[in-house]
Amino acid sequence: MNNTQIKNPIVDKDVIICGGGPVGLAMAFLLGKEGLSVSLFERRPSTTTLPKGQYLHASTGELFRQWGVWDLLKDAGWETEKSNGQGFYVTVADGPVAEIKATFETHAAYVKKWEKYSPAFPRKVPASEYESALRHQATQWPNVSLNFNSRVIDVNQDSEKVTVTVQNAENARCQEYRASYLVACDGAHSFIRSRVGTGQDHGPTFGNQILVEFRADLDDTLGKDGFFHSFVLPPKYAGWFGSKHPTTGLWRYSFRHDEDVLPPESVMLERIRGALGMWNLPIEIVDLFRFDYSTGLLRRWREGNVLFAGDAAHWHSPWGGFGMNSGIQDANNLAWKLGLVVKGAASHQLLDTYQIERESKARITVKSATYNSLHYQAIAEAVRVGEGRYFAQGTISPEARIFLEQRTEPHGVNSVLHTGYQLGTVYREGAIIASGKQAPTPELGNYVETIVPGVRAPHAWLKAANGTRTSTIDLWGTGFVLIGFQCEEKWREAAADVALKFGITMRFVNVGEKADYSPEDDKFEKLYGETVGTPVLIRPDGFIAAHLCVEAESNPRIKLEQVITELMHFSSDIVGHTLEMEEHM
Amino acid sequence: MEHKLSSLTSAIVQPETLISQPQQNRLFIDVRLGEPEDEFKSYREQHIFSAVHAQIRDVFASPPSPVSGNLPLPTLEGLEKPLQRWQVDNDTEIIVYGPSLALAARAWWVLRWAGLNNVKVLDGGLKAWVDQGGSVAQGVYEPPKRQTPAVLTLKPDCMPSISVDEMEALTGDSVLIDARDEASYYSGRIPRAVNLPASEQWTPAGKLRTIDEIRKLYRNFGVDERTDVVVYCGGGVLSALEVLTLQALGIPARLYVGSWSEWNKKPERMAMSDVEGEQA
Repeated sequence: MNNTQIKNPIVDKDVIICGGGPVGLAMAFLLGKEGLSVSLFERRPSTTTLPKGQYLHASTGELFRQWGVWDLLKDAGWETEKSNGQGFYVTVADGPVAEIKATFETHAAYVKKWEKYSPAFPRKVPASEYESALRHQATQWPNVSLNFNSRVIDVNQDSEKVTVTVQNAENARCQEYRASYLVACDGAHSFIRSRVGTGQDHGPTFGNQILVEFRADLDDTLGKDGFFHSFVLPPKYAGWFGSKHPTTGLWRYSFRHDEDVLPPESVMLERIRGALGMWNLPIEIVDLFRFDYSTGLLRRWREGNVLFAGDAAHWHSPWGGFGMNSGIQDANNLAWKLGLVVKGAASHQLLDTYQIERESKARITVKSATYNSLHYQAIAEAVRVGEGRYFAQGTISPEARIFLEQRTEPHGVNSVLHTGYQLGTVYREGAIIASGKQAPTPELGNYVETIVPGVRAPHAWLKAANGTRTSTIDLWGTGFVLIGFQCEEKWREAAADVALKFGITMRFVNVGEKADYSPEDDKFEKLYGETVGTPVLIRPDGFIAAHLCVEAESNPRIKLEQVITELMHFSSDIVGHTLEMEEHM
Repeated sequence: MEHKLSSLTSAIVQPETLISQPQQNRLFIDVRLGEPEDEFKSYREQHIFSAVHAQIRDVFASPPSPVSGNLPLPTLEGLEKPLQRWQVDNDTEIIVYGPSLALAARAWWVLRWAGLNNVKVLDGGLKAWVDQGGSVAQGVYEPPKRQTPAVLTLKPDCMPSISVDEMEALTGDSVLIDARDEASYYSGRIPRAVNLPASEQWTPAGKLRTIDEIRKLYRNFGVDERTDVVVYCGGGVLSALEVLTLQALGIPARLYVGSWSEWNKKPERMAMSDVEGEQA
């Protein structure tokens, strides 16, 4: 540091967050809600303006409902009919030659279909919109300070605290901050990871992707077809169009370009017009971006008091829209644990369950994103072979059409939506107390509802005493919830006693006739009635922690105390062992 | 593993050995020689976790002069600086690897020349490391500062080398090996040199060939434990690899660091050299 600069005294916080993308902002919101003092640092001047990261999974939508973000996004994003699946073209003007759709019905029918599994539904919203909504919600906590234009340039930790040096981008002044914990949400090229991380595994790199934003009148062609991605097959124009941006009105065209120098505008215009098959279309190129995607998984997500979340822990290609969604789930998994540890209610080993639980999901995520990238490329490449004569006539051969149909078919409705990926997350070990039953093996496509400990607590519609329709999902997110079907009221007292004793938030929700909520249909009873008369414990992140079973009926308080003690004082020999082994690498 | 050269010498190491025997005082050096900017980018994209980046020109060579070869030896002071920055002491186990085994071998040779004893070439480099489940990283690695300063004593000439004057006086009693590829060899070479391209010693995957395969390559030129061997190449990189494999086979060889790029600087030497078309 420059000697002439006045060194401000160090600022103390509970938690420092590096990175103000969706994961950092979600983290800030959640920790703010926990009442911790939090500073977030983001080097950009504001939330993102990049036209990417638009796919909101239903699982993210559920959290956004809990956080008040879903309401803010009510009118944002694309209508389902205008962001529906993938189309394949020779030229856009000739119309699609194959298609994969999330739904062949109306938006209302689509939402209705999802209502069975979730109060939310997968939708497309630009990152700029949900990031600013998350930011808006995080700023409501006076204990959270969001600092943009602030680049973290140094990080150090001792056994107690993490210290970072933050440089203001406008005046180059530096300030030191110190906290009990640091959460690195600073993306695929994480600075914190490069300084503190200890080793990764890598996958393929997808380089030299160019994305052009342009203005043109395509409402009656691309717009009418309504795909989210429209792939153009002929090798000369190989690439894809993205649907019209709901706020800026711009269209996107993306292709691979292996040179450092960008093509001149005239060449770009020719390429876009060629891909569209509309040679006289007026086009205004507005912006141009260059992206490189690498694939990797961090080996250790916790280094002392530094934790990694989102792309900083697992990074991959954007196909499938997994990045933001899985990152938000990371934040949701970690925040309540950090809250309990910082407040002294849980031992710091609870934080080790974060990697155990989320890494299992990340492992599936990096594989799926990589597969998607390669698979779409493979389909397009394979279809191209031997089609020269047909491409020249603006069509493809009958064989190519059959091939495309057959290859895209397994990517039908459910695969596009990844229902199983979105809703069927299972933690096999971690901060859960196994019931002896096995949760079904997670599948990308299919989701099986269950309440085995370690799964996302499933959705069922309930009615409040005042008649308001509520999803079980809407009950989670603020402390622990003890929920059951027609349970004895002594659980209410037990919940209150144990919450007080452990310094945690926990409430009891009884569902049934004349209870807190009445079920709208028989789904709640079918699922949550499995443990008749005794409740299940839902973690603050909406995952099932434990069944409070039979023998507990005699004394709910003792049983509940045992369960909470076990959760709060997680320790695993396996984790200890692995950490020790890798320390010397 | 008994067919691998690493079973004969501690100067070559297999990734699985490193992974199963973690070491506190271990430094990986990712050794490069191409276009500096491209090489640094490639290092940033992926390197063995906790590897530092070293460009041969900057670390394992000093700037060329009008009469020197392309990659003259570094000065001890010049070599000491990066080693200190990397927190190296006299006992540090240094693992060198690079896009080719020859680059790693050059780094190995220079470090050994400067008196460091615990230097190893990673057989198969980054690819073999990843195949074996070793962890990698992106970005730039900086070894953390030590609590107590590292003790590092470098001394020159700890490896057998040969100067250009001695080269001029070299007699037929020694076997002189040119480690460059065939095309370079035929377009100009030092008198009496035989051609044994270094690239024949590794597989397309970048792993050293077996003991028997490499021994046979040398035997073809009558080289065995009793032979006095001198190796050169273009600038002391490919030849360093052959010094390494010869040493593993128990044949101490002298390296002509200046190599062809120094030899060809003087017209008198060129006059006595074999140039294109002539027989070796």
